[in-house]
Amino acid sequence: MSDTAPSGRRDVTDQAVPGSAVSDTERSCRGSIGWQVGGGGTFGAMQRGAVAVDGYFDPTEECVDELASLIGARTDPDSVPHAEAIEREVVIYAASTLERACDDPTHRRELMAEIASVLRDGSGVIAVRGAIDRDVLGRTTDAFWRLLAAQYRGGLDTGDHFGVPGGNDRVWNALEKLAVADPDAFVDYYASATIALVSEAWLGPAYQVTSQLNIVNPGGVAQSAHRDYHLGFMSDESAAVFPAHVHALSPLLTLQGAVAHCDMPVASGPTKLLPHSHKFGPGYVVWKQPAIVELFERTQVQLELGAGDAVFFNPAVYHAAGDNRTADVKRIANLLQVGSAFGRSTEAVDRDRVVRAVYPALLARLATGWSRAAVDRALAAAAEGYAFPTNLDRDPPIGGLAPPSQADGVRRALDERWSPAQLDAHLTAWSERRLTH
Amino acid sequence: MDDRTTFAARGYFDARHDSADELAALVTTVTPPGTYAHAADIVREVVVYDGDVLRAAAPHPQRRRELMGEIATVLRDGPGVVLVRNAVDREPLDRVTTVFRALVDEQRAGAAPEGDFFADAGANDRVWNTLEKLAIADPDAFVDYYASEAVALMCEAWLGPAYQVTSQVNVVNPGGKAQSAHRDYHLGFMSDESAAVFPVHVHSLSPMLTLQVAIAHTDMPVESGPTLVLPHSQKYPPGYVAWKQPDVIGLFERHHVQLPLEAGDGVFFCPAVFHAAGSNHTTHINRMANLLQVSSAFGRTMESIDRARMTRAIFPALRARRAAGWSETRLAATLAACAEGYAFPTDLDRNPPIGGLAPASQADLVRRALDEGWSDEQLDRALG
Repeated sequence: MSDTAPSGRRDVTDQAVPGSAVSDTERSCRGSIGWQVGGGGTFGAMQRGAVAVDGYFDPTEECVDELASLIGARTDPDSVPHAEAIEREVVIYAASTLERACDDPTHRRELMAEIASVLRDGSGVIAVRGAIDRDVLGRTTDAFWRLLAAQYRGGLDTGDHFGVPGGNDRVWNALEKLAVADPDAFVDYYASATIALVSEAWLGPAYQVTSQLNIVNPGGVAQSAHRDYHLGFMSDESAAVFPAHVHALSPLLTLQGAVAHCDMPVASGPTKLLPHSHKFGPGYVVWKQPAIVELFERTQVQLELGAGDAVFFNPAVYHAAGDNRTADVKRIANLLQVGSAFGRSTEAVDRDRVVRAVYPALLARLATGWSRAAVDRALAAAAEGYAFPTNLDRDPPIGGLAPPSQADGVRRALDERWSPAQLDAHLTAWSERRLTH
Repeated sequence: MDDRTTFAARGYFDARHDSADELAALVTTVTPPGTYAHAADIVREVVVYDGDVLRAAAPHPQRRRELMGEIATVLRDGPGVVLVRNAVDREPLDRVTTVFRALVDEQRAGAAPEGDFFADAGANDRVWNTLEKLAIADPDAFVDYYASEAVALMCEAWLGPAYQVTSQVNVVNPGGKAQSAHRDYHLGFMSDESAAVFPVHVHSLSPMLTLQVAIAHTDMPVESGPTLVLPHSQKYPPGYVAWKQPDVIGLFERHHVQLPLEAGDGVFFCPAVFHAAGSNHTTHINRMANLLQVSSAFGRTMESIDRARMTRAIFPALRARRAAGWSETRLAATLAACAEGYAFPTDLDRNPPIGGLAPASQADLVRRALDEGWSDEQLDRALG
């Protein structure tokens, strides 16, 4: 990944003091590209060019040339030794590669570092072939269709952020809904080595999985290009009042993923992506400029997916759902928005309810000889892995560090084979400790 | 290939491969005078601003933005530590100090009969979630205190709008011992091993999620032990996994800075700056600070806060201030410290984003309530 895009106008944070971390960070990152270069050392992630001199991005800045230059980068195959292919800058892995890595911590870490470098310094987009086993996928797809049918019966009018109401269907918080409706399918699905490894690669442990079911029906119209949560959910004006370093922070808080639940030929409109566009500093405030939209439409990449394949990308990569020009493919995807332990997700998930729903299935998998690692992966998608926020009067830090998380409690329950009733009491007490009064 | 390249290539920090040389170079940095146009002074690498300068900029969007840009540069690329003289007006400060003392006394009275809190003459007192406790105990004092436009400007400079204020009162009594040097939330609250399993880019993310603040509620001569800080140390990439290394501790001991504070002064620093509370060598000063840990809209705070409860408590006081002709900037500063300014997380079935991206936040609701002159009951119902 020898991207050498010009840094454009020098940004104010380039004025490194002698001996500052900038030079050392540059040295450590050189060869991958300037993730931390050119923007001011430790906090300069992704600020490359076009930073207004006062430390804020300007929505009126004309900077399409800079984007055009960035997206010309080409990934060096030697930089991604675990990948099986690179197709139009999407780095493609076989799920079996990720599964094998789970057996060896060092190998797993190397693979996570490689994937993180693609998401950060490289094209920003990977695909994993065969991420979900076909049988598990089929059961989960059935459960998803039932959720959608139930939603129709309930007459719920759900808004879709970027599409035209009616053309698309969306089930919000499909994570919690699937856990409650079909705990067995939930556990088998989220035991996926792929979802766990890629999430941890980008976010570190204790990530928060959220899921939305998205169905684009025949004739469904494409979305316009956008970035995603956090700053991607704001108007240009709202995003522009966040300082430049927060624009670098936003993409580090979320991993964007989509699992294909049916075969998705290009005609059915799989996600359009613009590899390398996440490195475009002013990207959150200029995406509606006609020149940017035009460049996206001209250079975007659409990858055909098989059912069970997954795409993961940096949420700052410009992307948009495609047109469904088929007569018969109801394009169904599970959209994963995985949040950092440190961040707030878009959706409120009642993880207490999720854990209670899936705990018997987790116990049953252990009894039938599943590896503990596989059970822990499913648990990571279900339970709250972070201790905070909490009420420190009732839940004091132990030895100055974090009190136990909900997931810590469930892991202990699994170790000690607690009954569901024992776990219920524990979860209730854990939740009450977090209330302020 | 040197060690740094090796661990960076792996994508993770490893304290065993680290050297403190880079930190040694950082902490001897000297910032040329005049680097920061709006600063009053730079004292031993602490950049000092006059609270009046920050307040004067508050009503002028362009000036305010320039100042915020400058301050963000100090926190990110510069020394990482800002001292604001007279950040909070003395009058509301003293009223709040009285409430804080009562909260400390109340907590002590509620302690186990053996009185753990009294066991050690040098023991420190800490009241968690003082933000909510103050709002409930004395809404008027809360509103007047957090109307500080200087504090609001500092928070927004680092975090952007819709930040989340949390507060803990900390009293270090005579004889109270110094802390060891540390970084702060998020990665600073983990063991080295736990921090090391987060990839390198998350180590650069962590400090951008929080602004660390101490408002002095008593005068704090150096012998009373105001916070020790190590300017420029926020730029040391492996800091979260290296802080317990003897070389790092040695550098902190040789190069830390401790400035005397007056009641009402505020110290604001990047949470990746190595810091520690100092020893209280006096016989008579109960050193009291309001420690603000202010989070990005996007982040999760350490403390859970019931902001709806706080908002109900302070709404009558806010409405009265507005009627009395308070400026929009003072009202906004107080509201920002109290109400939830961000729309997420939410239940998108019940609170759909139709016709726009984010649904309305709690703070949006309160602004509307103030504009339209809602009664307490109206607001109560709307808060749900």
